[in-house]
Order: sequence, then C-alpha cells, then structure tokens
Amino acid sequence: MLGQGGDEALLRRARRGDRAAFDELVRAHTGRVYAVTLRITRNPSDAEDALQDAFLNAYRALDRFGGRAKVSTWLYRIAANAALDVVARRRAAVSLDDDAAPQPAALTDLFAASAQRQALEAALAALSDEFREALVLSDIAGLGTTEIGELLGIPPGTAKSRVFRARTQVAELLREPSAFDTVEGPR
Amino acid sequence: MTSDPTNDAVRALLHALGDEPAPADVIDRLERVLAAQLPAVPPGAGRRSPRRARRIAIGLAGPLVVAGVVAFAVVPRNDRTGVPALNGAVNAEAAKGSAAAGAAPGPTAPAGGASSMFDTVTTHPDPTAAAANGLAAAARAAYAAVEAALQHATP
Repeated sequence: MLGQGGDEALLRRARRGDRAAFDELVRAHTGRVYAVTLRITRNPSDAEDALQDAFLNAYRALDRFGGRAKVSTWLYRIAANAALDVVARRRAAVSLDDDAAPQPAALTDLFAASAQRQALEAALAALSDEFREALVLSDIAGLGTTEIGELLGIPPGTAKSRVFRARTQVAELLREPSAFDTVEGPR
Repeated sequence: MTSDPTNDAVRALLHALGDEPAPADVIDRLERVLAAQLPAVPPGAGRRSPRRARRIAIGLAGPLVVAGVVAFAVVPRNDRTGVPALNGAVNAEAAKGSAAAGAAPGPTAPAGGASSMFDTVTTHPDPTAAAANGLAAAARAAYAAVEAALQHATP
C-alpha cells in the first residue's frame, strides 16, 4: 500500500487522464479491497464482481473525490458499497428462487490453511451478516463508525455497538475452537 | 492464535487479512475488465476541482483588492504633488485647443470663460473620481476572475 501522499498524487494524475496512475492505485489497493468484498459477500465469485465494480465506479467518480477523506478510505467505501449491492442483489434473487441460494464459501480452499487463519475465518463466518459487515468495514476497511453507519443505513452509535459486539464474539469464538464444529454458512 | 485473544488482537488479525494480496487470477481478470471497460479519459478530466477553483479565486481576490486600494491611495497623492509630466503635457494641448477656439470660434465652441472651464474639466480629472474608477475597475477585474475560475470548475 502507498502512503496517503502517494495515493493523492496518483489520484490527481489519474484525474487528469493518466491511466497508468490509476492502474498503480488499483494495484496498491486490490488486496484490501478484495479482502473487504470477500468477507462481505462470502462468495469468491461475488467478491470478484464487487471488486471489478468498485474500481470501475472509482474511476468514474475520480472527479468527485473531495479530498476530505484519505484516498484509501474513499476507495474502501466504494468497495463496501459495491459488495453490499452484490449481497442485496443476491438476497433478492434468493427470495425469488431458493434453489439458487449460493453455497457458503469453502474457506479452507480459499486461504492458506493455517489453523489461525481457519479459526479467524470460521469466527467471521459464525457472525450474523449485520455484525460481520460492520466488523469488516471497521477492522479490514478501516472505516469510522459514521461511515459504517451511512453505508449500512444505521446510526453511528448502532454501528459502534455492532462493531464492538462483533469483535467480542470473534474473540470469544477464538477462545473456544470447538465452537467451530457446528458453524454453518450464512443463513 | 493467541490463547486468550482480546478485542485488540482480533482487530489486528482482521487488519492483517487486508494486507494479503488478492489471488493472481482475480487480479488478471480485474486488469482485463478495466482495460476493456474504462474510457481512456475519466469523466471531468482536466477540469479543476471545486476545491482548487476556490483556492484560486481566493488567491486572486486578495491581490486584486490590494491593487484597488493602492489605486485609491496613489491617485489623490499624485494630484496633490502635481503629477507634473502628464498634467503638463495635457495642459499644453489644452492651451493649443483654446487658442484655436479663440481664433475661429465654431458652433460647438463655448464662448469666453466657458471654453476655459471646459478645458479645465477635461485636463484635470477629479482625483476622487479617478480613484473611484480605479477601484471599480479593480473590483470588476476581481469579480470577473473569480467568476471565470468558478465557471471553469463547474461541469
């Protein structure tokens, strides 16, 4: 990841039409953007769609970056929006056709199979969607509670409470590995 | 895994998830999609941001106001000290004009004292009016510059 100064310089160049600068910005942030979209959508295919949507939307919105937030925050916010849109579309589709419900991601296939990683991913998977989305936006994307509240359509105080409770639940789950034996996929 | 993970430890672990690179095939596909779907130039490219335009406008307004104030201050002072070169030349022209008018008075030339009064008005402009004109010109220039900067920033 680049520093904030580097990000801003790249964004200014990209805004003037320098595609190479935008590509560099993409390369610098793809990892974290994908981490956010994957944990929100919980499906690699949906996460990839959201990843592509996020950078396409960011490019189209380059001239609307106000400079009040960090470039990275602005990008992760766009990514979170794209991921939440994908989830909303999926939920709508599932309500129309339950047979088409996506299967939970095979987490052990997706990531390095360290015990620590598996435990963390399983703990995240065990959270309710509301808690997981808030926690991912806070601790992976680094968004503040106000931004999380805006994205999820809840007051900042509720966002803060969800983040704290989600983090506490993950910590508790990590203390009790046996709890993962009964963890099921989303809904 | 820590044996007794605290909330801070959970936060650190989750943050570390974002430090990992995306899978190579995901990155390849992303690059292909961006190459195929992004326009060569982003919307609004080359347009100044509203924030920058505001900074430019503020930057221009200061010096232009100072220029107006200086114009206001300098013109009366020059008048008090006589502004010798310019007024002298103009007075010489006026004297010629008066002589010509006296030799061959035409229908437009005022008779007698009226002629010299006319000359005086044209060759010795009111210093207060000149200062006001200068200030107004500076204000107009400042307004035009600010308006141009803001228009440039507006889609």
